[in-house]
Amino acid sequence: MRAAKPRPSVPMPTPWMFPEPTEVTLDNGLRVWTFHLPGQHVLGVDVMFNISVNGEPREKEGVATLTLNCSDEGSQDHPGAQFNHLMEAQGASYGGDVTSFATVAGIQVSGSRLGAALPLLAEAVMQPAFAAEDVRRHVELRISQIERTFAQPGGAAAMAVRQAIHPASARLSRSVGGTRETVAGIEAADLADFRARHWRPDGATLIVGGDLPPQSLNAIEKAFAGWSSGAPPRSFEPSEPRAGRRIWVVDRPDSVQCEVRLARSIDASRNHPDWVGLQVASTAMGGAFGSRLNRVLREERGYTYGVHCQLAPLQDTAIFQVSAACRTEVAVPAVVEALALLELANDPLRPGEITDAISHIVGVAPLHFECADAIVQQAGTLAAVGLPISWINDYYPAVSQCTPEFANDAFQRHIQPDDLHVVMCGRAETLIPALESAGLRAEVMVPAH
Amino acid sequence: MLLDYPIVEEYTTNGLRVVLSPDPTSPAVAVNLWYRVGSADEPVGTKGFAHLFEHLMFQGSAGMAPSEHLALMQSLGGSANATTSFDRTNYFETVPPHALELALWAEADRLASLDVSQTNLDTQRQVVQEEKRQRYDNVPYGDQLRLMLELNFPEGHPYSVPTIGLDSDLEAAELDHVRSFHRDWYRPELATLVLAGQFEVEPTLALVEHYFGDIVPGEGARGQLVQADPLPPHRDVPMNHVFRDVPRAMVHLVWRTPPATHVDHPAVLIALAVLGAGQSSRLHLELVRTGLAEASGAHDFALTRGSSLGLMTARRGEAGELTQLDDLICAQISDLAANGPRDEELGRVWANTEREWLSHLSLVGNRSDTINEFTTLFNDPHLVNAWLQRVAAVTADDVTRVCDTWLHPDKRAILTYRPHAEADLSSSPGNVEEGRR
Repeated sequence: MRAAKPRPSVPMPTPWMFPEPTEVTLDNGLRVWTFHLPGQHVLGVDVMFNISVNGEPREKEGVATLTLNCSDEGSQDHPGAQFNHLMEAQGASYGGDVTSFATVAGIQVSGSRLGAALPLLAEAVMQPAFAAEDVRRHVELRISQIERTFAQPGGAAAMAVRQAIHPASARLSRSVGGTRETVAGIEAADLADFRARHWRPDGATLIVGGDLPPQSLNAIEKAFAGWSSGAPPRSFEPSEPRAGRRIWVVDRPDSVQCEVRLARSIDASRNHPDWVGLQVASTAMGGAFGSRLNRVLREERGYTYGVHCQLAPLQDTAIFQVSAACRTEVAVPAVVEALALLELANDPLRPGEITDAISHIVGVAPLHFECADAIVQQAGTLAAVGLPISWINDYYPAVSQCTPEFANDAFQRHIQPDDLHVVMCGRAETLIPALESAGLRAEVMVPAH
Repeated sequence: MLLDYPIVEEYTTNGLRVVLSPDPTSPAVAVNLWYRVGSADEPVGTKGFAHLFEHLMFQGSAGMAPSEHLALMQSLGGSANATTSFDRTNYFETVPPHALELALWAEADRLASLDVSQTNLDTQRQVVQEEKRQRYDNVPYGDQLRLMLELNFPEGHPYSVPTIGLDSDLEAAELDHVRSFHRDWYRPELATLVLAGQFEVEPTLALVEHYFGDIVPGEGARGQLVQADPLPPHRDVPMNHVFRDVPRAMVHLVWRTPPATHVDHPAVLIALAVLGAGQSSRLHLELVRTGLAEASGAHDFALTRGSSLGLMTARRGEAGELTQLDDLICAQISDLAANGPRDEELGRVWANTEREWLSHLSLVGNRSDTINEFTTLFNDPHLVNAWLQRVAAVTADDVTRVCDTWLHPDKRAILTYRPHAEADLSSSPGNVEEGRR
């Protein structure tokens, strides 16, 4: 065996900044952010709407998602399959996403074909046909998707988590894409109505990024000029009463493994003074391979292929979640050990763990934003929550300056292990008594879906 | 568009093949090492070992503590991982430019001096078994890959068992085997190192020589790749109809296609894309827009030893039946074989292939891995620039020909999944396997 060569030292990284867009607002109120990124031959173009799913009628939940899903099934100018023939003839791929606080619809396309693809994106956004038979088909597809998600142990666990961490009155306790019952009642007219009210240029942002051909902005203005202005109704996330701690088992008698989730909703998001400390501490706890939870539960104990800890920001709140899949016999020991590791009063995150977390978050940023689409997506998220691009260029320096004391304090202010809801999807017959012996009284539940 | 990623080729003094593709516009540099050993090279009784070994490469070497490698790369703002497939094992880091030397040092250190303890082996064996449960054993359709391979490749063929392997073989893995596997396969002359991203060529070549150039391969014979002859097409439509705890019925049609290095491979990809890629594809229009299927698709595994596996798939919709979906897919193939693709179909496939290819290569991690694939499997790193032309050169006649030669309906095999509840109603012919769980 060769002796080790001396480990090279690593110099200081060069500072990095998120690019600044050029901002223009069209006459109809549509804000346009343009990122010129030389060398990025595939462009991303996203239209971002600040749509909260709280604005959906209760009995039609899922209508925001179906509106997006059906928006490329033919336009008024190009009905039926014609629309996708034209889009795909340009090599453009249309897609989007609906979250609890935003809807995004967009394309990816080679720079040379942007001019031909933009009018098609505008058609999908401004005049989708919503033919009755296409909407019926998408209703079936969405119901199938719900059933297939429930059939996945991780999917069933996610459904149970939503119900555990939010009170039943909250929209967030149910899937953003609706339940089988609410989706089944949605018809073409519901989509047309929802789109007419919420897909409006005022308050929306179009973000384009990549190696932009000349006259790109003109082409955007031309494509979206016919979109009549009008502001969408604002809907607010009502503040939620705190739910008591839930310890739930979703029974899967044939499981050979158990999906484990520890989670809660946090009353803080990107603009909260504790946000930076929370993110640094969560990363040190379980956001990277070498972080505390994975080091112990995977690399020391061999309980799981991987354990992750995530703090996902929504509009004004965030969801803290630890997730892992473990073989049944070690699932409860893994929960007990994870809860102990999350108790920072006994064993605060050490300076070395905090330093590694900070250099990971800050150092990985330029790599994370390597391609145009990643920049467009991040800009879109900021647009959706009403933050300027400068937010992200303030965030990384703030992370760099986060101290171990601040990270530990912020984490403990918002996350107490005894308050974390516990969801396990696996063999109840084994899990319930094991939880009981560990002092955790669990109930079997079937997530509504 | 014409791509012109620079390609610089070199060997270290001990035979490590090196390919550099500098890109000053990139914020990062990707380090990508392919070792020419995959699960296809595992003897009977050791199925899953190549992948278990991949985990062990993170368990320490002369200068690196167990579990330190990934944590170190992430703490420098990089990412790192490894994957094992049938034909190779790859290890990669994408790091900020200032951490390139450390990444080279780390890769060289574990090639020169891997040092795994019994405890680390036992722990990683458990981790790999958890990975197997999470990805295959505890999810609907989790045995799909295994059943497809069983249907397409005869017992004992290098591709007949999934890379994740068999629990019994993983249980039997011992520390001695770890050492001999490293000695036989993890040798400079059986590896290819590709770098893509922001770096200077000359100083980087010097660094590579410094860290890798004096690694002496272990004593004994180096590993020999397991070869396989091309398999004849399927005859008499072999079938496997299974009942499982699944939410929807599915049908998979499987063909023995030419290996990825075969001259017909690009035309097979185009034929599959005309049939199954995108919402304007034939299968989407005939099966999905009509409500007979919820989803459809087509794919080739791009395997290299003798034969590959081509696949067309549909998930049954409200209005459909599996035999009907099979019939309709076959009718589309026959039509394509008889009349060829329309110009607008080829234009659509070409435009989408170009976008997907450019998008894929825009990340230096993908670019380095693609260059390594072309270097290792095709012996031509320049194909990263020429591949699109090779795809563009496929003619309508080529598509017609490969549909007949490789994808003819008579040459298919069939795998179907149905929910347990349908078991009593079934009168399907073929080998009906009872539910396993």
